[in-house]
Amino acid sequence: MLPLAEVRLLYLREMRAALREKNIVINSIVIPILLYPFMMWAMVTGFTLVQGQTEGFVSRLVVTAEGETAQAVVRELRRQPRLAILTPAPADPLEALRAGEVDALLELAPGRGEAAAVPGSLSATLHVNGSRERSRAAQERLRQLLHRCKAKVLEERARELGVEEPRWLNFTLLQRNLASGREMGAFLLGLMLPLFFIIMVAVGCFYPAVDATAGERERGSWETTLSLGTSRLAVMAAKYLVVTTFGFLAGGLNLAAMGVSLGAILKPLLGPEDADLALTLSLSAAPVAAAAALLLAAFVAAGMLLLASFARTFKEGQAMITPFYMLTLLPAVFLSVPGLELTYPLALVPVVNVALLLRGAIGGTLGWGPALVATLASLATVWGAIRLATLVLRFEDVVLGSYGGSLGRLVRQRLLLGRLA
Amino acid sequence: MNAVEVRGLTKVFHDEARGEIRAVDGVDFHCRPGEIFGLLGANGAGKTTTLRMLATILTPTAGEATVMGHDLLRQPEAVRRCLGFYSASTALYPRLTARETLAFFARINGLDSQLVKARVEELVARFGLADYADARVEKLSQGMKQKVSIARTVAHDPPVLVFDEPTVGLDVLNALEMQRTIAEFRAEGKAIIFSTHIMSEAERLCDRIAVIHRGRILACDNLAGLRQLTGQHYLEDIFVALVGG
Amino acid sequence: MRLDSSTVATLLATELKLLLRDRRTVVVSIVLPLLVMPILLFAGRTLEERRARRLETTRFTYTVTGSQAERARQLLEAAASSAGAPTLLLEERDAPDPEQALADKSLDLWVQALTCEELPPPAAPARTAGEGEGREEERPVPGVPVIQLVFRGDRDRSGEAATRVGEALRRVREVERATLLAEAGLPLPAGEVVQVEERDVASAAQVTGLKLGRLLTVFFLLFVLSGGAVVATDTLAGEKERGTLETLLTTSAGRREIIVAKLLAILAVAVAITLIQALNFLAYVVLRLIPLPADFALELSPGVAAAVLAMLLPVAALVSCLLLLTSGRAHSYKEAQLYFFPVFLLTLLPALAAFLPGLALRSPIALVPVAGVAVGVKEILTAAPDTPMLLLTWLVNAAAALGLALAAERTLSAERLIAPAAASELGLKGDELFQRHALRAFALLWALLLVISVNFEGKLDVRTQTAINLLGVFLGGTLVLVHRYRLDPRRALALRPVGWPVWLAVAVGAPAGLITGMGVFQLASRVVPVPPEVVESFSRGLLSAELPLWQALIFLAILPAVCEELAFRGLLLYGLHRRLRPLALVLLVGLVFGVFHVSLFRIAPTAYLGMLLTAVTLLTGSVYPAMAWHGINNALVLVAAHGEAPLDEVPPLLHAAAAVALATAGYILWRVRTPYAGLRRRQ
Repeated sequence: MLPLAEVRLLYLREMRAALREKNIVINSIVIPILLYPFMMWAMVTGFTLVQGQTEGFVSRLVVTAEGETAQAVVRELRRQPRLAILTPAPADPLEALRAGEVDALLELAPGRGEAAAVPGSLSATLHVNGSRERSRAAQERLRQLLHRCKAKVLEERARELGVEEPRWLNFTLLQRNLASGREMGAFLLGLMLPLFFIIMVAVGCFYPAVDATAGERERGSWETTLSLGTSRLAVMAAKYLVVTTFGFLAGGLNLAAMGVSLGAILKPLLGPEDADLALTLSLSAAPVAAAAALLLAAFVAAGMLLLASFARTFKEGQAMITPFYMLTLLPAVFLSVPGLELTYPLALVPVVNVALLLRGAIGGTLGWGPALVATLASLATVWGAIRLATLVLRFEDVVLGSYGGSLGRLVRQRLLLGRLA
Repeated sequence: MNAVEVRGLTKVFHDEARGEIRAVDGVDFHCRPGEIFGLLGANGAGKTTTLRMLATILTPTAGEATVMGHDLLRQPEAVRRCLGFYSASTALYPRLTARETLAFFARINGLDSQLVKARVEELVARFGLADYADARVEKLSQGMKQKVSIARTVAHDPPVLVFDEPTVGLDVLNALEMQRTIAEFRAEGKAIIFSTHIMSEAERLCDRIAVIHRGRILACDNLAGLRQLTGQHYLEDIFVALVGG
Repeated sequence: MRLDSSTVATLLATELKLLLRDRRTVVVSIVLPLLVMPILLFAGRTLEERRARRLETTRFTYTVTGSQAERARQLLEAAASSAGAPTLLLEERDAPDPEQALADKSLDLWVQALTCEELPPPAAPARTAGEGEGREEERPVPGVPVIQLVFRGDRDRSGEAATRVGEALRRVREVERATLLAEAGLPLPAGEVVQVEERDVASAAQVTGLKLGRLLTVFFLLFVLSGGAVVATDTLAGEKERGTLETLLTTSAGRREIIVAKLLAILAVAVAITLIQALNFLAYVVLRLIPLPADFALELSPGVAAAVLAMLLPVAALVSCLLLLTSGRAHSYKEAQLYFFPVFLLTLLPALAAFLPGLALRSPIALVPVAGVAVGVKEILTAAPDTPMLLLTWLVNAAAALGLALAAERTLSAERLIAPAAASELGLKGDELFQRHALRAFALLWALLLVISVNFEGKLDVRTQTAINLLGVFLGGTLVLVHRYRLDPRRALALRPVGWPVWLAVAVGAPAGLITGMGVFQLASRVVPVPPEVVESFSRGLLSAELPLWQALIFLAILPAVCEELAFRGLLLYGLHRRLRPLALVLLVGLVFGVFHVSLFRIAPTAYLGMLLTAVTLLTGSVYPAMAWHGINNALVLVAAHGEAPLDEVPPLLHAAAAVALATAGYILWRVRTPYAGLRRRQ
């Protein structure tokens, strides 16, 4: 049985040491709070900058117009604030277009062939330079303008040909979203947050796991710890709890920071129709979120601690953990796909199940059955990892740090072959 | 001619908050070929800083020094070429083999590349490294590492050797081995500067001893001279008398 | 100084040998990412394809209600069966309570078919399905039926159903209109009345070049950084930690040789990784694991390839130097790793300049390292190279690389790093402790300010918010710090009277500084162009506060002048003044001041003001003149905004006059200077 009082004492000592280690504090606390809000802020700022610039361009046009409709188009064009017709036009507009001095060349003439007989017909040729952003912006604007002109011409034709207005209009198409701003916000958060959450729990466990094992060996305090008057199991249990705590902290802090700041950060991207979008975490999701953080942290901490306990230097520890770290992050790819919900089969996949549990909690779409299965499955994986750890800790040379291999080698050499022999 | 000449060597460190720290303050000494010159001082007395300046790792704030006639400030490379520096903090590359290590240090210190191979074999034979010359240094025991370390210090056969607390962390046998090796180098006519805080070591090994305290040399003479100066017999008592502890 | 090439060769060979023997690091940091990246791309693509396929075969359920239901059913049938359009599978369901059915997922779409009059007025502004970008909102017209698609945007299927049914219905309308026109006697198909033809003067290769050119430098940097960082950490910080650096420094190899060898090692690995990654990508493209866009038409002539490589090489060197410098500044392997992330961001950020539309290399951007190359590479790939500017930016980057390399060389002599003198905080008294903690304390204040501004921006009255920021964060923070570290307020905040010529200089200098600041702003906006909306919204923020001028002056001129000066030119300057030389102090304090003005576009002008104010404080040894200067500056901006005087359209002559006036003020301050106490001087 675990001597709980000793574990508690060891845990507190480890926590204090970890909180005084710069790397751990930065990676498990500062980065989870600041990194993603900052990166999103930078992305949004960059995006609005590029967008604002593109919209801010005045497109420089050369237009040739022939015929009545063409003149109407030119009049419409002159009304647009961001479209300007160059006067005088350059001698060779196509050359100027290639050189980037003109953004588009628009040739307007009455319709050719059969169309020539139809009043209001138009044939437009739009020359652009696809290798320049300004010209692409001009292309987009002129496309829209010509599209509007086309609709107008056809509407006039219809009127002149005696089509009644209601028949021409046919029907009005409207769309209405029943989901409230809060529900839409929860949906969007549910898409984004689990992804960041997994990454942050993994990052949060990473440094404490290396520091508690390899770091301690490197500093030479490992033997001091082992010579304490308590069982090795208690020592490892305390270390495990510390790593879990940091993973939990990192995940929880990240969720909280994102919940608080995301709405404000994303605001510039949302149009006026999204003004009531509420990108804040509802408090009802908090208990499930906390449970998810705990489950994931317990699993990741067990895996990382197990791998890192074979390392003798910090660097070695990092190298040993990294593959597991990446493996943990792989399921993140799945999460970017919308419409993925916690189903019974998915509830059995480690990491993914916890992420989907969180998504369900945020979006308010969690079913009790899959949630229960996911929790049980996570607990089972945690139990398995701890079981493996106790198995490994039976080997003296591993505990003392004189074993030269890694977990993989140990399992191959001693656990599997040992059983077979 | 003196192999090493040091005059008024001074080192001032700037600390962001505490201002100036005079780690070495106007140190003078010299060392002849075939002589072991000892720097004796407590931890933090300025021994390591002095020796690091001599090895041109640190730049002196004031003063001058020459090694085999080469000026410390103007010809740092030439100084290092005729100097072998050994200390507990000069580690070896763990992922090189002993042979590769020796070849690397011989070559990097300007030994003619045709001579490198022969020199390495010579060192391997002299220090008895043959059995593990092709194993990576990281796999060697502490004692073996120490031998490789000494071998690499003399890889380019420098006339001046600097040993900064070489016996720190060694067991008795290894420490004695170290002392024997250093004495051998003296017999070969090398000028040796040797720092320690262990009195018996200084007593046994050094031809002349400088007692350094808080960056200053308090006395510099052979043992007999120091005894005369302080009226004490044992070096420990001499040291205490000088430092005024 | 000459470089001994045989020494460099020996060092480089050993360096690479050491790296390759560190098998675990090589596998984990180099091989693993090579494998993982394509897996991620492949998995992402497969999932996306599966989703598309699933939606393709999804049968969306809907229900129709309302007086016009029959018409709606007709339309929906036409929409589902229209030829040439993407397949749309629909299934009508009975749903007595469609709203509830939408909520419990038994229904994807609720089609309300009403007359215009039956339509209830919208309670809230309607949210469209998201793809309504650029499309005009349709308005109900009397006598025309209304088809309203009701959905739930927080369900993937429902949102998709609304979008796709909406598109299909619009197509149906188009077709029916064409039919109407034909029946009424239009002699040709409706689509041919107005014919639009588009022609691109750029070749397909140029268009591809634009797309590739925007990304190329960023990807290149990513590879160089990820590969180079592994070597860089090990090669200096790692050696330092293992103690082998000291061994190396006692050999006769020169510091320059050592640095050059290490740089070459980093560069070699970085370039090797870039090549491997490029081949890796190529292999996956050939194996069709990664799809290329349909219009991808890259024509890479040897000349273009060579030019791109020539431009990227100094960037690779620059990054390698930066990594080496970072590693050299760190005491240990761990510490070095901690620094690399900010270095990554710092290096990648300028490379994004290639994404700025319309930014040509023939602009000040050519002088910005990395950014210039990013823009230049894009121009080369779109077959519009600007040779003289490319040369200039090449030189700028090469010079920056050289500068960093020299700085890295100096780290080998930096005593702080070689001989870590017991630099513990033990025994430091409040004053000395604060000197170490000053930047940290201000970082905390900055974070606090950010949190406040992110969460309360626009929710509070301008007066309340200003008061919280200034009195709470700046003044409060300053007082707490003074108390916490037991500083002498008079000294720490530079509260010291000054003579009358100083006030004269301030009176002349402040307006002049404001006008030259506008110049700086205009210069800066040529490098980081400011969207007009930002300027507008900022000046609107100043005006629409609806504060009477006297209140604006109190809250936006006097309070900031007092509180911000006490914090920056008082406490921050005091905390740093013994660590840095005066010039560095001016730059750093100014920059920190700029960074505190959160928005990206205000950093340059406020940093400039901050630098002027720091210089004034350093020259006078007092915070009061800076307060006055700051106050006058803000007051002038407010008065100008109130009178709607365009401050940003100052004629060039006035700029020149302002510069002269500023110089005069500086001269007066210099003549009557009473410098800040305890400054560090050149040794």
